[in-house]
Amino acid sequence: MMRGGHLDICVLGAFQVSASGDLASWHTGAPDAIPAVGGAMDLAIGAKRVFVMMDHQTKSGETKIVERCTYPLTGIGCVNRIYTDLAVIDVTRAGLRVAEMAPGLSFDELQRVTGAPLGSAATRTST
Amino acid sequence: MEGNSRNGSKRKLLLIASATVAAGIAVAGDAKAPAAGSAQWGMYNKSYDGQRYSTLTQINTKNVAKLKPVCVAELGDAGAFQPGPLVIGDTIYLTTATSTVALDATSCDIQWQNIYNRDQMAARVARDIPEGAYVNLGIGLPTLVANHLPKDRKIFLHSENGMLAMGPAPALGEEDWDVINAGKHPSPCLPAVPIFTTPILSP
Repeated sequence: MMRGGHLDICVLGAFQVSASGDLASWHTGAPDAIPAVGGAMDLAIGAKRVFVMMDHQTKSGETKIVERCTYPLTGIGCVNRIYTDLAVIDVTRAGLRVAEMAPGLSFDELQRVTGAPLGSAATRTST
Repeated sequence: MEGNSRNGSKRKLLLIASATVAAGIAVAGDAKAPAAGSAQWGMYNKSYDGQRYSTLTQINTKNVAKLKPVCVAELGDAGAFQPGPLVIGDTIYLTTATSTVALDATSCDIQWQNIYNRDQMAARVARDIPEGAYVNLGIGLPTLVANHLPKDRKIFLHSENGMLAMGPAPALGEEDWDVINAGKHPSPCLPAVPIFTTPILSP
C-alpha cells in the first residue's frame, strides 16, 4: 500500500517542516531521545499528498516552520500542506502560501512566529 | 490536576475560578484604586523580586468576609486556571487548559480569547479529505482526524499493520485491544476490511 503509491493522503505529525516541504519528524538529535521513525519515511514519499498537522511553535516558543530543517529528515520536498493551531499553509514551488489563518490573527503576527517567508493566497492569485 | 474528576467536581472548579476573577475585580475596579503601578500583577510572582506582596489596602481582615462577586465571566472551559491571573492596566489575563483570555477587569467582558483545540485542528484536516480517499493517519495529532471525518463521505483509513478500513475511536468499554491503529490506540476495523500482508521471513 505505502511503497506502491496507493495512498492518496497521509497525515503526519512533525518536529520541523521547511519552506521547500522537507519533513523532519523522527528525531530531534537530543542524545537522550528515543528515535521513533516508524513507517513515516515510506509514507512521506509513498503517499500522493502529504499533510502535516502540528503546533505552529514548540512548547518553548521556537518556530517549527523553518527555512531549512535542522533535525534529520524523514523526507525531502514531500509536504504539500501544513495545518497548525494558527494557520493552514500550502507548500508551493514559489514557497509557503497561507491558505487560512485562525480568527483574529493578522498576517504580520503569523509571519512573526514563522521561521520562513510566507506569501498570502492573494499573492498567489495575483502572480 | 483533576484528570479523573467527574462532571460535578469540574463544574465546582469553574465556580471557584469565577470567584477568583470576581475578587480581583473588586480590587481593580474601585474608584479609590491606588496608583497604577501597585495595582499591577504583571507576572506570576507579581514582580522580579518575587515577593507576591500587594500594597493594595481595600481588602483587609475586617472586610474580606464581605466580598461579593462583581461580575462573572463564563469561559466555556471546565477546570482550574493554569497559572494565576495577571493584571496589566485594566485587563486581566487568564489561561485555562485550552485557551488564553483577556478580560476587562471592571466588567468581566471578554476582550479576546484564543482557543487551542486539537479537535478543531483535526476537524479542519478532515474537511480536506475527499470522498473515496485512501488515507494513512500518523501517530499523535493525526489519529484524531479519524474522529472528525464527514459522515457522508466514504473514506478508507489505512494502518501500517495492513488494514485498509479503520473506524473512529471506539466508545469506552467497547475497545478491542487486538485491533489497534498506528498510535497503539484501539481502533475498530469496519466491516469487510481488506487486510494486506507480506510473507514474514523467520531466521
